[in-house]
Amino acid sequence: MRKLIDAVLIKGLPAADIKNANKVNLWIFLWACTLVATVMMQEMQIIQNSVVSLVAALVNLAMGVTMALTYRRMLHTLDEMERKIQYNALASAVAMAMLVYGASSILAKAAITPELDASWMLTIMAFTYSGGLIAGRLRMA
Amino acid sequence: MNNRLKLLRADKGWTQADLATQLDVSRQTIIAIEKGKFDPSLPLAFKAARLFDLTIEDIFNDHD
Repeated sequence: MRKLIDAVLIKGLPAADIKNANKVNLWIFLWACTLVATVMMQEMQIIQNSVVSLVAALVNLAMGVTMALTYRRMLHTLDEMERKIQYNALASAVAMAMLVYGASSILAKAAITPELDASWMLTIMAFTYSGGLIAGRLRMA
Repeated sequence: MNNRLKLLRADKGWTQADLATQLDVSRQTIIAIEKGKFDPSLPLAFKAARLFDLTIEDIFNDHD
């Protein structure tokens, strides 16, 4: 149990790595906030103007690009074992997304299930990535 | 890959945290290397060799 807690809390990582990881978390939070806020405002018809939608999409895109660049910068300076764990988790998330998308496309074409929503893809990737990180840290502990 | 990192570290009287600080990696990385669960990169292996004033082959070997 203690190993699991340590794996979740990434215990023992150098302070600089934790600081960089917190920066990434902040940008992920901001990106998710702009995404959720924009979609909610569109659904509640607060945003009806296409120009405002375009601006909102650009703001979300800018947040996303900054998030990706901050993450890449963090990976370059990260502790080398943690970097390997991160790469493995990313690979698992991409593989899972491809597999789920492929299988759901077949099921949707056969009218067995509805088309897979993009938000589900993001959720599946996020959970696979997080699971991959914890599994990787437990494997190395 | 096998290694003598634990022995060499013990000879110097260093803790895993001491070695981690000197090699600029996390203590978890040192633990994983000592247990043979993680193979260090070439730059890290060179850094360790320089630290102990040995060659890489003196510390790491790929024999069982």
